[in-house]
Amino acid sequence: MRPFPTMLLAATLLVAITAPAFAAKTFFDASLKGLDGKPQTLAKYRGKPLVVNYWATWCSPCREEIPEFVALSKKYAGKVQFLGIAIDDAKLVTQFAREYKIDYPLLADETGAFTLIQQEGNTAGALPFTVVYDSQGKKVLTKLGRIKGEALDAVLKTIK
Amino acid sequence: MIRLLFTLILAPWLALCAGLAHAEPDLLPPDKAFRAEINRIDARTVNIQFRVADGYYLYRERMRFTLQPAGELTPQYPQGVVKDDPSFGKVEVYKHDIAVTLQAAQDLPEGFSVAVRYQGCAEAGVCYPPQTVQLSMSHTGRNGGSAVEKLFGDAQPAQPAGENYFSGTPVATLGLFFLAGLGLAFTACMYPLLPIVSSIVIGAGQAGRGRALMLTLTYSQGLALTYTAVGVAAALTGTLLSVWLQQPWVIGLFALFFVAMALSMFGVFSVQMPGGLQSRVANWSNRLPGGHYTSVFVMGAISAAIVGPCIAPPLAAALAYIGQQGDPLLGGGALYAMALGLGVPLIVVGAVGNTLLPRLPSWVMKAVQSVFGVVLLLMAVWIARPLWQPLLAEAPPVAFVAVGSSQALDKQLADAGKPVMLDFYADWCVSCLEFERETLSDARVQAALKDFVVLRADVTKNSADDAVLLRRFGLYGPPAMLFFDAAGKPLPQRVIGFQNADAFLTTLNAIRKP
Repeated sequence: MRPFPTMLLAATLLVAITAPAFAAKTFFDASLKGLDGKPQTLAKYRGKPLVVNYWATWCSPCREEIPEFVALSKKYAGKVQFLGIAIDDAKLVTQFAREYKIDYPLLADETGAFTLIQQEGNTAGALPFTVVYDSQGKKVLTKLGRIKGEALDAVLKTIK
Repeated sequence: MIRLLFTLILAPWLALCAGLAHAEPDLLPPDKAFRAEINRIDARTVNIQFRVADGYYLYRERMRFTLQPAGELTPQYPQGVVKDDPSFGKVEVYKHDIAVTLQAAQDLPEGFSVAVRYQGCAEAGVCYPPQTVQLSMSHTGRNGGSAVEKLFGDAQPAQPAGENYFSGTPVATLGLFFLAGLGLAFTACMYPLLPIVSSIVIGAGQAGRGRALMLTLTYSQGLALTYTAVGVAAALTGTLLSVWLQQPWVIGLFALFFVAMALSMFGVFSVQMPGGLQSRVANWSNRLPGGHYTSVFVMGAISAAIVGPCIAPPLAAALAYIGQQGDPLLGGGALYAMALGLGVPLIVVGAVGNTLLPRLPSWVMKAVQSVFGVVLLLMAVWIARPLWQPLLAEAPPVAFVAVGSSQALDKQLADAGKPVMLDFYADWCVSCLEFERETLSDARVQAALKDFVVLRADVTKNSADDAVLLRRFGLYGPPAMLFFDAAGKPLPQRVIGFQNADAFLTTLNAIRKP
């Protein structure tokens, strides 16, 4: 009779299965749906300074600030990557992007983006929400609510 | 040492506080900023009361009210304040507590609920994603306790799987799945496991109740861990595992395993056999019938395969969630919690069964063991039923049109001209047979189905076409009933798992008279 090895095995398996759920996951480990509905990993955005803007078409303050993002994305083309993550329907996002001439990549994933935004510290899931990472993937700035174009510009000037 | 403790305990905490302080300017969580309550006015009228915190507002035109079971609701909104929104122009918003009156076309049925969807913002310049709450008139006056009813409530049209189960916090999700497992433990899917558990307890015999408890615990761990591992693997790879498990050779192996257990119950292995072989087989058999933890663990694992094909709504939800979100951790945790729930009654049987078992004389024990040997043999026959059952198959009670591929389905949908029901079926699917016997044979159901084109996808063989069809609808196996309108558009109603005739009729009627 060897009850302990078996129970130990069961316990180890249990821990192995549940433990990663509590381990810290970073932004770059996540995977979200693109406008085509296919999941994309965010790992490819590592390596360059990155501005992530969480938004939605139903969010008025988000719509206000997006032209400033579009302008800054042009100004820092090649140096800073911009990424819009919408807690919204892909069709509405596609239409909006055409109207507002958004030329940086967009993702639309209602549930996935909501999980990610909470993981990033915005537990209420409120929008707009902007996070800036440096080229090392370290968080430089988080801003809940409308961000001013000049303020973001000042951060991007010095970012590495 | 102290420093280490400090680092371990305080540092993450401080980091967390810093993070929060950074991210949130005193923002209420959405369920505190807007609180919705339901009040009954009369037989056809309810009131939805919104409490709007100071400095927050709700958009009038983004409110949606859905009655469940499906029915018509006419909302009457109070006058709001006109807000000149920079993006949306003039919109009507509510900045204070309001009540929306909902008038139903008919008397509200027993156990109804209203799904309330709303969206609002804080004056501080942030907006919340649309929120949905399910409000029902419960006897306690609170909305709690309805979660389990929602999982098994028979009057409710089944939602596309995945949405409801994963809306809460991870802990709430796991709790919900545990309860779901507990509920599933009393369905037909689980009956086959009772003799197995009983034989484990009997196998433990007079060795003591602590041991019987430990053995059933081991068994339920075997079940839960296998269930989880296999479920996650299935969802991630998109393999139709329940179908794979029904291959003849897999079933044959399981059946043989049970025959071996039965034989060892009879003590067959100790009967004459040539020298060395005999001792080896006897040695092996000693480990088998619940006497040994390893074999009990294996039995648990096999049991997981037996209950696996019982695709119930929570299981379908968990698999779909893992498949869509690619989040095997929460999904796997949910499966594990559900399997633990499944195991609880079995553990109770293990603990109590042994206590009730008096210190029997050894000849009685022998007789009891023989009885369970017979039960295990019957189990072997039962497990092997996909091998013999097709020989006895009866004609289905409804005249189904067979669809064998995704293209065939498209063609049928295009030609239908009335609502379509698509039934996913397999010979080995216990719930499918139950559905045929109990629900589809009901005269009222048959009458209601006259208004439908009834299609059946028989996925018994698991051909490539079958797999494409299942995957097209995000299904991991039968049973599942999907519905389409006359134009061939998929409808939100889905029936996954067994439903009795009354519940199924509610679903059908909701589709017939939209």
